[in-house]
Amino acid sequence: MRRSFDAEGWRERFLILWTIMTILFLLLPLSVIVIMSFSAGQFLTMPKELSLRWYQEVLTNGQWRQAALNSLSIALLAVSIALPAGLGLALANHYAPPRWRAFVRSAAAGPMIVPVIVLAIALFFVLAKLGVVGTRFGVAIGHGLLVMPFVFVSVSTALEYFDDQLIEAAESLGASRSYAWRTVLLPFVVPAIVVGAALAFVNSFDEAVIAIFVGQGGTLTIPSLMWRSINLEITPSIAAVASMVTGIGILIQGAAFLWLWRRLRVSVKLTPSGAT
Amino acid sequence: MSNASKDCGSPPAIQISRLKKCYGAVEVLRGLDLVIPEGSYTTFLGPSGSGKTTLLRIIAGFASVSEGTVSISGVDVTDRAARARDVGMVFQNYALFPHLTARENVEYPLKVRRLPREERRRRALEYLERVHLAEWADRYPRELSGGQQQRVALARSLVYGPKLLLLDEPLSALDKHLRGQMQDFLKELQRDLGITFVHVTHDQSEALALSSLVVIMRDGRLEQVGSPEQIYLEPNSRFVAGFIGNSNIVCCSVTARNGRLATVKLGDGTEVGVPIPAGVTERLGVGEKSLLLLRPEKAETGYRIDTSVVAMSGPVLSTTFMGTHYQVVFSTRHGEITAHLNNDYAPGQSVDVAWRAGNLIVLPAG
Repeated sequence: MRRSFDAEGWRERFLILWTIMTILFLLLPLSVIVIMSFSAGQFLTMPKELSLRWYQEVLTNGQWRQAALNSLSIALLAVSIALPAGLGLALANHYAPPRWRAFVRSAAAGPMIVPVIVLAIALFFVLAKLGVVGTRFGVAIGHGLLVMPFVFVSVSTALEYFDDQLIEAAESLGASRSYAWRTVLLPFVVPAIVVGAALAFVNSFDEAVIAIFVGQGGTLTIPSLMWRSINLEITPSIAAVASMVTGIGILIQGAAFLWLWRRLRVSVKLTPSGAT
Repeated sequence: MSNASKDCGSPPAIQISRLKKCYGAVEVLRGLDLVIPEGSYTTFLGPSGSGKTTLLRIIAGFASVSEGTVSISGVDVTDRAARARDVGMVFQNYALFPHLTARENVEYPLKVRRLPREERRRRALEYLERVHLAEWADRYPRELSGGQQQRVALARSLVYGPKLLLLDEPLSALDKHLRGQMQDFLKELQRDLGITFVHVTHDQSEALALSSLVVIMRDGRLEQVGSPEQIYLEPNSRFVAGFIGNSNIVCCSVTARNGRLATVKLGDGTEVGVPIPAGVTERLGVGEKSLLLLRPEKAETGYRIDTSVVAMSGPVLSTTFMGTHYQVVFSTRHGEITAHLNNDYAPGQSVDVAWRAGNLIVLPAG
C-alpha cells in the first residue's frame, strides 16, 4: 500500500513538471518575439532598453497598413465563403443517409488533410483559369476553402447533440420545414457558428502559404508581407507585427469562447433553482 | 359506404383503410382497417414492435404509407404533410424547444399562425392555466420537472385548437405516483375539451383506465378493438387474454354448444357450462381444443362443488401480500395457478379455490 502511495506522489509531481515544460516550450518562442518587439535598437535581438519605436514605425508604415487592410478584407470574405459552405455541408452530413455520411465528412475535412502547399499549387492553376490569381478575391476563395472545415466541424459536432424530434414537433405545430429550421435548429447551432466563424477568421488572417502562392504584390497580407520582409531585412518591426497579430488572434478567439462560456453558464446556473 | 357514413352524422375522427407499411422487405403494418369515433379516448395497446407507434406516426404525418388511406374528420390526408393536418402531438420525450420559455413554447404554434402578439400571449397563458402552470410561464424547459414539461407539451399541442390529439407513450417517463395523477388529468382534460385523444401505450392498466376504446395490436395487425370492458371480459384470443390482466390459462375441449353457452371438459374430467365471448363464436366448434381463462381476482373460497364451478386445489407454492389481497400461487394438476385471496397461506398448506362458471372465459386454442 505504501509503495503505491509513493508512486502516486511521484506521478503527480512528474505530471506537474511535464505540464510546466510543455507550456514553457510552447510560450517561450512567443515571449521572446514579444520582448524583442519592444526593442529600441536596429536589429532583431534581445533589447537592452525598451521602447514602442517599432510599433509606431509599423502602424504608420503605408505598406503594413495596406497589408492589414488586405488581411482583414480577405479574412472577412473568406469567412463569408466558408460559413454557408461549412453550414451546408454540416446539414448535409446530418441529414444524409448513413452510407453517404462518410463521403460528406471526408469531402468536408479534405482541405484540412491535404497539405497546404499542394492545395496552394492546385488552387493557383484553377484560379488562373478563372482569371482571379493575384486578386484579393482569389486569395479569399483559397482561404475560404482552407478554413471551411472549422465551420463544418464545429457545426456538425453541435448537430450531433440536436434532437431531431424538435423539428417534427415544430412541424406538427404547423411550421414549414424551413420555418422550423430557422426558429428551432438555428438558435441551437448559433454558438457553434460563432465559434467556427471566429476560428475561420483567425486562420485566414494568419495564413501565409496560399496568400503567397495565389497573391501578388497588390494583395500582400500581413503574413505574406512578413515573409517578404524577413527575406529582405530583419528589424524588430517583424516582431512588433507578429506580436500584434498574435494579440488579435487571442482577442478574437478569446471573445468567442468567453461569449460561449457565458451562454453556457447562464443556462447551467438557472437549473438548480427551477428543479425544486 | 359513403351514404352510410353520411347518415351517421359527423364523420369519424380517424378512418384507416387497408393500411400497409413496409420498411424495405419488412412489413410493419399488415393491412389495417380501423375507425376511431369522434370525441373518443382511444389507446393503441401492444408490446414493443407491434407497430403501434408507427401507426401513430402515420396518423401524425411523420411516416408515409405503403398502401391504403388515412382520413381525418372525413378528409383523406394520406398525402398531406404533418403541418397541414392540424393534429396535436405530444412526444414521448416532450420535445419542448429548449431555447424558449414555457410560455414561448406554447406561443409557438400561434406564432406560426401569425396571431397578433397580445392574442398569442393571452391564449398561451390561458392554456398554461389549464395545465396548472401559469406561475411557471417564464421558466425554461430545463428548469421544469418531467411532469411539468409534459403539461407544457400538452398545452402547446392544444393551444391552437386541434380536433385530434396524438400522445406517444406520454406517461412512460414519469414515476408511478405521478403517472396516476397524469392519467386522471388527461382523462379530465379530454372530457372537458371533447376532442379525440389517441394515446399509444404498452401499459395495459393505463389503457383500461383511460380509454373509451382500446385497440390491441400485435405484429402489425389489430388483435382486438373494443371498450375496456369488452377487452377484459370478452377477449377473443389467448394473446389479448394474456396481455390484459394476469390470467391462468387451462387447456380444455368443447363437448357441447347451445347458443352462447358451451360445455367444456377439463383434463381431469370436470365439465362446466360457460358463456362464449362474442368475438369467438365461429371459431369455437364442438370437439375442438380450447382454453379456459381463470382471472386470479375472480377466485373464491368456501364454495359448494357442483357443475356451475371449476374447482382447483393443491399445495401453496408462494404467497405475496399486495395490500388489497394476497397473491397465492399453488400447484394443481393443471399446472401452477394464481389466485387473489383474502387470507394468508403458508407454503405447503393445501388450498381449495373455485371459479363460478359466469366468471370463466373460454377461448379457441391457437
